[in-house]
Amino acid sequence: MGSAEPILFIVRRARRRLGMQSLVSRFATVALWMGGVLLVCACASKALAAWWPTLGARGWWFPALLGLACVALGLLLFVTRGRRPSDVAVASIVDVRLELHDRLSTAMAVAGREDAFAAAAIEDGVRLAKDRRLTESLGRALPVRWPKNSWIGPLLCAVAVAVWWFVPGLSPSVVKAAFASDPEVAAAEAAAHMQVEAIQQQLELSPELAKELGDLAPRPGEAGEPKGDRRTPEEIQRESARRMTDLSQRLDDVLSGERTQSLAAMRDALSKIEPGKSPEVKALAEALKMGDAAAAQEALAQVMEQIASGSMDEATREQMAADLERLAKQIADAADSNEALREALEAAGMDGDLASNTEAVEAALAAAKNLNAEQKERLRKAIKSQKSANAKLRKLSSSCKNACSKCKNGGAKSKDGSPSSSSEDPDSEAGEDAEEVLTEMEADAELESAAKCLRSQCRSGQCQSPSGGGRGGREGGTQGGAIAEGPRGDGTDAVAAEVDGKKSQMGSKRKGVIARQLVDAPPVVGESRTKLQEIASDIERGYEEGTEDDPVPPHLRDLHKHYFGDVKQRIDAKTGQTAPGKSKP
Amino acid sequence: MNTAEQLQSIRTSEDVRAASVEFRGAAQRLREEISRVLVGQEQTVTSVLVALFANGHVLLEGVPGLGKTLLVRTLGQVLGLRFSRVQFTPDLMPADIIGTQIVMEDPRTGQRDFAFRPGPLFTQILLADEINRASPKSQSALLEAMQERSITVGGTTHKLEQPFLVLATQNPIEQEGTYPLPEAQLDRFLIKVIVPPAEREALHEILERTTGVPSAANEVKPVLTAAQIAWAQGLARLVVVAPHVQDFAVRLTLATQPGGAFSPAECERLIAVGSSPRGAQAIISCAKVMALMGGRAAVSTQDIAAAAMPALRHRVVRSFEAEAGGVTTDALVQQLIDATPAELQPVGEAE
Repeated sequence: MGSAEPILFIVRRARRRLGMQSLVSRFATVALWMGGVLLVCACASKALAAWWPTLGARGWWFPALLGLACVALGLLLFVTRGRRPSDVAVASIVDVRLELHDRLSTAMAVAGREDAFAAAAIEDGVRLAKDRRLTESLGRALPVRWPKNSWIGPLLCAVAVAVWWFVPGLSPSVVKAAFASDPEVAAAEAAAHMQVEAIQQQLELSPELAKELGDLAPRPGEAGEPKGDRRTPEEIQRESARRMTDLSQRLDDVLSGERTQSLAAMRDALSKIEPGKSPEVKALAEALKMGDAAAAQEALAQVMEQIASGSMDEATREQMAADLERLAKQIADAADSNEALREALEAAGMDGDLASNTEAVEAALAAAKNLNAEQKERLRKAIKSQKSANAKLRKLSSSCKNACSKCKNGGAKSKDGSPSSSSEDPDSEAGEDAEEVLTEMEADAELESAAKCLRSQCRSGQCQSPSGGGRGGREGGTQGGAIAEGPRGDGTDAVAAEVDGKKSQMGSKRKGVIARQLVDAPPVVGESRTKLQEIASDIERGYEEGTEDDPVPPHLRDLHKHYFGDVKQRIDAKTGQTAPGKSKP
Repeated sequence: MNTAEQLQSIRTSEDVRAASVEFRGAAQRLREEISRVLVGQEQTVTSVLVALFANGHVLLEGVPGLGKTLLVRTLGQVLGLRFSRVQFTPDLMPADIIGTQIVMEDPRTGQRDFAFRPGPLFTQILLADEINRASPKSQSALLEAMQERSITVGGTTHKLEQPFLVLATQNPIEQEGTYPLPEAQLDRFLIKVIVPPAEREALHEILERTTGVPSAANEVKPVLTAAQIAWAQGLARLVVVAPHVQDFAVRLTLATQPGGAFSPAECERLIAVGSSPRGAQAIISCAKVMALMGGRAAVSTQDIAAAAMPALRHRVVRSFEAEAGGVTTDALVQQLIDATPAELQPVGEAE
C-alpha cells in the first residue's frame, strides 16, 4: 500500500475538511436549538416572575443554565459526531466533487488486487493524487463554511442573555393590566375594587359590624385579586351587584336584629323622659332622651363624681336625689310600657295590650292563623328585643335608684372621711352597671350607625354599578364610603331619575312596594354568559313556582298579603266597616 | 496466438494501456468506416458498438427513414461477419427464421433422410427488421438464440457461430397490427437505443450523398475480424469495477423495484415492474466498454449512469398512472438516476 500513499494524503486532507464542515454544521444546528431553549427559559422566567418573583431576578440560575447549555452543546456535538467514514468513502466524495471518474476511490478499493487492470487503476489514481492541481482544487471542492442560518443560534443566545439581564420580571399589576386590557373590563374591575375598598374601610371603623357580617365581609386584598378566567364587564358588574345585594340584605338583617331592635326599643322608651332640675341629672336625662349613650356616660360619671365628692350643699343634694329618683322611676315606667312591642303587635294586626305579657303574646302567636311564619318570627324577635331592652332599662333604673340613695346619704364616705373605693362600695357597682348598659347601648348605636351607613353605601354602589352603556355612573362611584351618586351618562341618567322619582313618590304616599328591580340599570341584551351553576337555583325555584297550584309565588306572598290587606283596609274604611283592633288606617 | 492467450498476455499496467489504445483504435476505425455510409447518429453508432463489444443484442427504435437498417447492414459489412436480414411480417413463421427439416436423398445410395436446412438465424449479425410486426410465436423463435446462442431443432442443438449479434428494429408509430414484444423477449436485449431524427447538418450531408452521383468513397470495407471482436469483448470483461461503483449499479437497479429500499418515493407509484438482474448485468457490461472507450482501466460511476439509460429503459414497465400522466420511460429512468446518490458509502465499508 506504499504506492497509494499520495492517495491517502489526499484522503486525510479531505477527511479533515469534511470533519470540520460536519462539526461546523452540527455546531450551528445545536446552537440554534440551545439559543431557542435559553430564550424560552429567559422569557418564561420573566413572565412567571409575577407568581414567582425569584425567577425574575438576575439570579444564579441563568448563568448555571448557560453553563449547562454549553455542556449539553459539547455532549450533543460528541453524540452526533457520527461514524468515521472509510477511506474509500472519503475518496469517493472527492471523486464526485472533483469529477474524477472514481479514479481515487477505485484505486483505494482495488489496492489489494494484483491483476493488470487493478494495477493500472492504482497507478492512475496515484498519478492523479500526485498532481499538484488536485491538492489546490481540494480546498475549493471541500470548503469549510458556516451554514447560512448559523447566525441565528448565537443571536438567540445573545437575546436570551439580554432578556435575562435587562428585562424586568412581570409584576402582578402588569398581569392584572394585561388581564384587563379591555378598558371596559378595567373600568368595571376598578369600580368593583373601589366598592370593596370602601366597604373595607367602613368595616375597619366598626369591628362589631365586621363580626356580625361574618363571611360576607370582604377580606383584605380580595378586591385586587384578578379572577382566574377573563370576565366581561357585564359579568363583573353582575358579580359586584350580587355581592352588594347580599351584603345589603345581611345589613338589613343586622338592622332588624335583636341588638338594633333592642336599641330602638330603649330609645323609644327613653324618648319620653323629662329632665330634672339638677344640672348634672338634667344632662344625664337629656342625653338618655336623645339616645346619646356617650353623653349619658359622661353625665353619669359627673353625677357619680359629684355624689362621691360630698361637696354639695343639702339643698342641692336633695334636689339631685329627687331628680335621680324621678329619673329612675321614669326609666322603670318606660321599661314597663313595652311601647315598641306594642307597636309591632298592632302593625301585625294583633292586640297591642298583649305587649305587657310576653307569654300571652307567645301563645297568641302560636294560635294566630292570619300571620305567616315570617311575621311570627319578626314578632318573636320584637319580643326578645323588648325583653332585652327592658332588662337594660331596669338595670339603668336600678343604678339611678342606687345613686339616689347614695345621694340622700350624703355621699359614700369611708370611716376616715375619704371617698370609698369602688370595690368596697355597693353603689359603685350600681354605677358600673349603668356604665355597662350605656356602653352596650353605645356599641349598639355604633353598630346601627355603621350598618346604616354601609347599607346605603351598598345600595348606592349597587345602583352605581356601571352598566353596559353608562360610564358616568362608574366615574361617580362610591368614594370613601360616601353615598355619592356620580353623574350618569347617556340613557342611564333618565332611567335612574325615573326610578328615583318613582321611589320617592311611592315613599311619600307610604304605599307598599310590590316589587323592586334589584339593579336600576337598563337590561343587558345579548348572549348570556352567566354560568349555569350560578342561576341553577333560580331556575329550580322558577320551575317549582310555575308548577305549583298556588298562583302567588312563595317569595311574594308577604308582599301580596300586605298589599291586598292595605287595599282591604281602605275599602273597609270607605264602606264604614273598619276592622276591630286596627289602630292605623 | 488465440484470443485467450492474447488476453492472458496482459500482465502489467503498460500492457493494459497498450490494449486500451488498441481497443479505442478499433472502435474509432469502426466509427469512421460506418460514417462513410451513415451520416450523423454518432450516439446511436456508439451505443451499437458498446453492445457489440459487450456481446449483447440491440433493440433500435425509431421512426422509418432514420437509417436503422442501414446502420445494421453497414455494421455487418465493416465487421466482416456474416450478415442476415429478416423482415418480420405477421405471416412469418418460426421455421422461416430458424430453418427447417427437409427430406434429402443420397444420390449414391438413394437413401432418403431428414436433413436440417438452417434459416437466416444461422449468421453472425442478424437484422430483425420491424420485429414487432411478427407474431409472438415467431418473436419467441429468437429467445434461445439470443440467450444461449444456440438453436435446438428436432432434438438437435446447433451452436451459433461467434460473435452472434441480433439487432432488431421497431417502429414506435403505426402500432396497428403489431405485436409488442413481451417482457421476456425485451429482457434479452442488452440495450435499447432510441434513434433520434437527423440534425440539420446531417440531413444536408444525407441529401448530398444520396441524390448526387454515387461515389466510391462511400463504399465500406471490413475493418475488424471476428477474432478481433472476440478479443475486444474479452478485454472489456477484464475492466475493473470497484465495489462501491458496482454498488451504485446495484442500487440503480434496485431503485426500479417499486417498494424496494432504494426506490424513490416519487417513482414508486409510476413503476409497475422493475428491472431484472439482467439490467444490472447490462449496466456493468456496457459501463466496462464505455470505460475502455474512455481510456480508463476502471469503471466510474459516470459510466454506470451513462449505461443505465439504454440498459434499463426497456426493462422498466410503467404503471397505468405513469402512462395516463404521460410520463415516459426515459424520464422515469432519468429520475431514478438523479435520485440515486453516487457517493453513498458501500456496504461493509464503514470502519
